[in-house]
Amino acid sequence: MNREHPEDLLDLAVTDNLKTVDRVGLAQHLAVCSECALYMETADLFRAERVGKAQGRVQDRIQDRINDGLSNRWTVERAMARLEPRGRGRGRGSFRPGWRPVRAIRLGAAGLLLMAAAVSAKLWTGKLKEAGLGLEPDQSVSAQARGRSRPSGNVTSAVEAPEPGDTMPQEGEGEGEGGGDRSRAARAGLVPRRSVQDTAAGLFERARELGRQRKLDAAIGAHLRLQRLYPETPEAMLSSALAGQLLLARGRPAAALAQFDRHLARGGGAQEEALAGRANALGQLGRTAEEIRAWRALLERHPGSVYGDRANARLRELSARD
Amino acid sequence: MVRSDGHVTATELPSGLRNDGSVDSAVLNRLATEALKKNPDAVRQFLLAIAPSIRRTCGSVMGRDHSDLEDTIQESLVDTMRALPRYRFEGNVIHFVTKIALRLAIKARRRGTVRWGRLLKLGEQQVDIPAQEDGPVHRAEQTELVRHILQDLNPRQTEALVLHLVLGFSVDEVASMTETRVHTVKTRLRLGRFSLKRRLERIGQSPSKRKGPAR
Repeated sequence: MNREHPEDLLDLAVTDNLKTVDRVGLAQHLAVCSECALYMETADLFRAERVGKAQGRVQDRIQDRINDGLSNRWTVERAMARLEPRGRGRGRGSFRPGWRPVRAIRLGAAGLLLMAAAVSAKLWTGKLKEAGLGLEPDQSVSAQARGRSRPSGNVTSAVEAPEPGDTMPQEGEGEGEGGGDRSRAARAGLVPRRSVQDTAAGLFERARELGRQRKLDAAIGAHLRLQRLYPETPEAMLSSALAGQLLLARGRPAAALAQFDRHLARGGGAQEEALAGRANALGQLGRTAEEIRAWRALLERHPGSVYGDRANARLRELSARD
Repeated sequence: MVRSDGHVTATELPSGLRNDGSVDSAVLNRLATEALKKNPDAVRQFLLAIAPSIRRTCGSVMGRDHSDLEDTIQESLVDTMRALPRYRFEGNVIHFVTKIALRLAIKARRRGTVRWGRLLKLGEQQVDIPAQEDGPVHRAEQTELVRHILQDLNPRQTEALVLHLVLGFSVDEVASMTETRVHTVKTRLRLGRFSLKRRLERIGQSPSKRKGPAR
C-alpha cells in the first residue's frame, strides 16, 4: 500500500499515450507490483471492450457500428418523445425540456378520479346485486372452459391470427353484438390475450431484446410480425433496417437486401445504416457491380459517414480485384 | 425525424463527425447552444451527436448486454437536455454528458446487484479458476466481475476508477469532470486500485494467482 507507484506512467499507459522509453520503466515496475499489474491488465480488458471487436473481423465491427447507430437513432426518438410537450395548449416549436410540476398535478388528479370511479362502480355493482339484477355467469362458456363442449364457430375464428393492418382490440371491447363470444372466450382462456407487447412499441422492444439475447430467428420473427401488423408506424420503419442487420448476421443476404430496400424506399430515418447494410448484403450475394454502386451512393450521400472507411476499403479491394 | 404520417425522415448528423462516431468539441458546443433554443430539430441533432458517447459510457459501466442499457441511455439523453440550461460552456460538453451518463449508469448497474450477488457467492466457493483463460468468454467474465466490484467501492473511488480505468479518460480529464484537483483524483485512484486488488484476491481472481509473475 505504501509502495510508490508511477502514477503518471500508469495514466499514460491507460490513455494509450505511453512513449517507448517509458514502457521499459513501467514494465519493470509491473514485474514487482501486482497491484499496478492488475490495474493495467484490467485497463487492457476494458480498452479491448471499448473498441468493440477490434480484433475481430471487419464485418463484425461494421455490423456492431451499424447496430449501435440504429439503436442511437431509436433511443433519441424515444427521448424526444419524452421531451416534447404533448399538451394541446402549446404551439409548435414550444419545446420545453424539463420537469413541469403542472403535469404531476394533472396526473395525480387523474389518478384520484380513476380511483373514485372504481369505488363508485364497485358500490353500484353491489347495489345491483342487492336488487337481484346481477348478471349470471354464462354457463355455456364455463362449460367450454372446462372442455365439456367444443368452442363455437365464432370463438374458433377469433383464435385465428389477425390479418395485416388489423387494429388491436382492447380488453372488454366488442361486448355488444357479435363481440360477446370473443370477449367471453378470452375470459375462458380460449383466445390468447393481447398484452402491451402486442403494441408496435412493445413488439419493437421485444424484437430488440431478442436480438440482444442473440436469439436471431426469434428477433427476426418479431420484426416481421411488427412490420405485418403495424406497417405504417415509425417502429416498423426502423424495424426494417434492424431486421436487415439480423438477416445479414443469420446469413440470409437476399432477405436482408429486401429489408434494406424497403427502408430506403420509404425514406426511413436510418438511411446511412441501411445503405451500408445494403452494400454488405450485395457483397455477400456476389453482386459486385451493384455493391460498388451501393458503397459509392453511401459516400456521395453521406460524405462524413462513419462507414466511410469501410466503404473506401471495400471499393479499393473490389477495384483491385478487377 | 418522425413525421405526422408516422414515417421517419432522414436526420442528418452534423458535420464535424469523426470516423469513430464522435463529434468535434467545437461542433458539439455549437449544437448544444442551438439545442438550448428549444428547437426540436436542433435538440435532435444534439442528442444524435452525443448518443455515441453516452452509449459508450453506459455500455462500459453496465456491460453491452445489460437489459437496462437502452433505457439508461434514453434516461441520460433526457437528463442531459434537462441539465443543459445549467451548463456554463466552460469545459468540454462531452465531459458534462459523460458525467450525467456515468451517474445514471452506476445507479442502473447497482439495481442489478442482487442477481450478481448470488453469482458472486457461487464464485467464492470455487477455488480453482478454469484453465481456459484469455478467451473471449473469460475476458467478458473478468470485466463483468470488475464492474460488479467497482459498484461496491466508495462512490468517489468508483467514479474515478470508472472514468480512468473503464472509460480511459486521463487523470486531468477525470479531475475536470469531477471538479476536483488532480492530486485528489490520483489519491482516489490509488485507494480504489488497492481495494480492487484486495477484493479480487479475496475471491481468488488476482492476476498474480492466475498468471504467475505480472507482466
